[in-house]
Amino acid sequence: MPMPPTLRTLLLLAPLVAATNVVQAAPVQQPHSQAELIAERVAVVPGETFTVALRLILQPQWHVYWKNPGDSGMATRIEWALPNGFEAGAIQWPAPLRIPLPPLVSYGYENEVWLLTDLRAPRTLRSGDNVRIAGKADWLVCKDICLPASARLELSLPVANAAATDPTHADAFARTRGALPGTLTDWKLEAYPQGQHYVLRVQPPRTASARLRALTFFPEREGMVDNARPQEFVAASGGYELRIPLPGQAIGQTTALSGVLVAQPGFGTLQAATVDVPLQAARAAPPAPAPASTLGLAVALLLALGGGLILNLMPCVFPVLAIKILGVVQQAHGNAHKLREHGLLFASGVVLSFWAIAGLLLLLRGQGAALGWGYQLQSPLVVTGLALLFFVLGLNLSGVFQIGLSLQSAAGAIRARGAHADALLSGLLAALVATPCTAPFMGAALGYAMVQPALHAMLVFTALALGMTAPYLALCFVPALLRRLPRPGPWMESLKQLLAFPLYATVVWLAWVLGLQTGIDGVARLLGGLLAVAAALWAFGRWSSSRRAGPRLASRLAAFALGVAGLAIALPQGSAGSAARSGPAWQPWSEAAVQASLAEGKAVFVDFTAAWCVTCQVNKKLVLQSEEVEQRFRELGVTTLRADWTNQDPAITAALTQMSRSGVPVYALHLPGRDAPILLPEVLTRSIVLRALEGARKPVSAKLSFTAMEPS
Amino acid sequence: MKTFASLVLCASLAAAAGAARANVAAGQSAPDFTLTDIRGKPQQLSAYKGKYVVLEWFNSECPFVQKHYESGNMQGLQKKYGDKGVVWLTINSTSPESSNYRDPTRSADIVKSWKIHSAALALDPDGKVGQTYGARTTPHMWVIDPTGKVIYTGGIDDKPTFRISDVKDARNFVAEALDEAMAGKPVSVPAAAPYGCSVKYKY
Repeated sequence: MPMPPTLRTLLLLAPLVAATNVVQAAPVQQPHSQAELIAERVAVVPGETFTVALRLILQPQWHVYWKNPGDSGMATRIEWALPNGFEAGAIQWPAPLRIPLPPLVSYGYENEVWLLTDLRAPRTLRSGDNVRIAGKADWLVCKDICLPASARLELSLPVANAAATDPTHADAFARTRGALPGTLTDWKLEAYPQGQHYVLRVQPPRTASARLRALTFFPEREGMVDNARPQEFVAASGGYELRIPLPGQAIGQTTALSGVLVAQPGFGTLQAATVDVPLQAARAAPPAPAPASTLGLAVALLLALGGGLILNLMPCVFPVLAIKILGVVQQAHGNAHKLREHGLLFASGVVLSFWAIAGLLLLLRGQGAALGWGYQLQSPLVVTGLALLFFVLGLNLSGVFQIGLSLQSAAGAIRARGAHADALLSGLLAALVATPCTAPFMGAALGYAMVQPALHAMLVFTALALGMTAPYLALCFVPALLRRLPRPGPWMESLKQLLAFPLYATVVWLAWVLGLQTGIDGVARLLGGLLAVAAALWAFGRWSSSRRAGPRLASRLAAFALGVAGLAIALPQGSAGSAARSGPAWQPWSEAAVQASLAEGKAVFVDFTAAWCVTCQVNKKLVLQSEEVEQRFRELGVTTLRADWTNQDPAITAALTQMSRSGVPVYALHLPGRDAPILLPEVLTRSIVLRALEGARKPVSAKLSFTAMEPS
Repeated sequence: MKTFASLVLCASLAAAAGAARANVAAGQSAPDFTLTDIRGKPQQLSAYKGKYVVLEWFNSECPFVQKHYESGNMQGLQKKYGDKGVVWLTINSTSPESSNYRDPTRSADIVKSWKIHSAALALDPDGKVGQTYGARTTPHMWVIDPTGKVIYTGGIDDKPTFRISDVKDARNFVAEALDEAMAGKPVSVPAAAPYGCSVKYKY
């Protein structure tokens, strides 16, 4: 006999009911959360709209989701089962929170949330009847793990001709309504894509009193923006800007930024607003401010040439220079033609590698990668490689081992070819090592190159390279200068051995850079690796030219094994690293920190620095950390921030680009009430800093009394 | 000490942001990887060049994943397209520190009892492959064509719920992408929102 349909339905439903919930008016308990349906008024009035709330109470650290759950999760939903003639509106979502679940970010609620829904009663209801408002709620409750939850909820309400608000929940309903996103009337919003971001510009009405401290945008739907990357809030001229990262995978067409914008302390009385800002055409990054934008191509080329010349004296080029001087001296007594060839090859090496770096930079710039000058030394692998290379070169100069001793009798042609390769290679090497040291002049020229068309940028880089090679070319082409060089003699060996020390010093510096990038373990590994490499080269140097085949072979095998072991030990495992530390008075830089201090009427001094930038370290030790300067910072109440670019940091790169710089050091002094910061020269003196700080005096006190009136 | 702690926090947040950014989008070539499956066999993506490959991010404890397996939807797709020569790789990037982690032995039990029909279930306990691809949810799907190009990425269908009853009315984007590509047609929906539980990455 066939089963009656109702019984069949009941049987099918039974497990569901048992597993999840029962029909009841009281709160329904689910793991880590509980749900309840609450009416705002005590009765239903025929033909009128009334509000019910789904109240979800969550255990601490557990959350439920907004209408767009973000990177993961599911929006809470209600399926209404209403008597005939009733109509239900959509859930009115309060502004959500960003809930980080690294590396993801979700949008949702913690602790407790009231989800309001408006229901409309039909006119046909009769006073004195009871109506049953029922619905099934489905929600996902997550901490690090997620649990589905479901409840059938119901309310029974009398029908009456008038209905009062239920006083028990009046406060909660009022509070919830207060947190609902409203509509912005007098505020002007515009949005446009720029590079890897959407820029949302927010302009307050003239009557707005309090400054905004933060803005957060919550997208209406998935695939509009990147949920996880931080949104950058900056105070801009006449208002504020929120930079919202583009999504890794766009979904659908984004023609407007639609969603909810939350402000702190608020848009007037409104905390959050529903926004739908049409996207305008993409805009290029803001034009570079002076001096770079006013810098003509000719001036930029001259500056680059000068910068290149000065590069020769930078501590990170000097070791290579040392090697080159030796080479030039050795060749001085060969013929002039060879010497010229040698000089030209070295120059080509430098130019080629500058071109390679510039090409890469342009390529990356084109791809929107937020990279800048000096990025080579931001990789622990490159730092380790350079440390090993310099150490080996140093050992060679010290005479621990010699290359090509057994080839001394070989044909001259081979030696010449070797010399050519050597000249080209040392040119390449010189340029690679020079890049992190942005000498004075170079900052402006580089900043210029970064914001110019590719051809101009390449020309600027060429000028830099030529400037750097000019002294060699001069030596190689003007024999008169060469004749002044000293005659060869035993002093050369002494000089050679002496020149090993700058190389060792460079290794010490690189080890320190590596320490900042990867911590003490990374340095220990590097030193262990250097030890093994030293042993390898010693074994090689001591016995590899032995007349007896046995020791010769053994030493080479041992050298090879030790060398490989050294490399294996030294090369960094993974790229884990901790951030560089800053001194007690120096706080880590962020655009928000700058704005916060400016809002308090404080001047802000920003040190854009990196561990691998020697000029930066010299300025820090001799000027910024001098007692005089530190005391002045304290007296004037200047906020001192340090932007550490030792490891690649897109926010810092962006800030540098905005000042049309692409390298460090940059010293920026922000004064309250002034839009653009004052940029100090790259080589600092105490008097330069102290003079600049004089400008921080008056506005500070004037601004302080003003800020005292603002709500904090 | 507090400053140091907040610096460390900042650094890890920055690292987190960096990791989340990586996302292999439709139209890009799928990065190669090698993972060990629960039978101990290496699974290298490039070894399947010349075939369609489906990557399915999986976590047996996630209600959204359970929806597609309890309904038989996922196994059905795995079987149907497996028979057509599609290599279906199920990847679990759950960290061993998470209560949702299932070691190879327990995973093998799940494969057996759920009748999972994919070519392999591979574990990615350090989350490297998941973060390279930008896998955010379970399930999160990628469809890769025989040239190694991603032709679909996102959720398995257009019903972002854990209700089994939603499976039958859903528009399945993975099946659609495979059918269209195999018929030589352009994929009409190359990307959709992924939905589900967050991938329980190691942190």
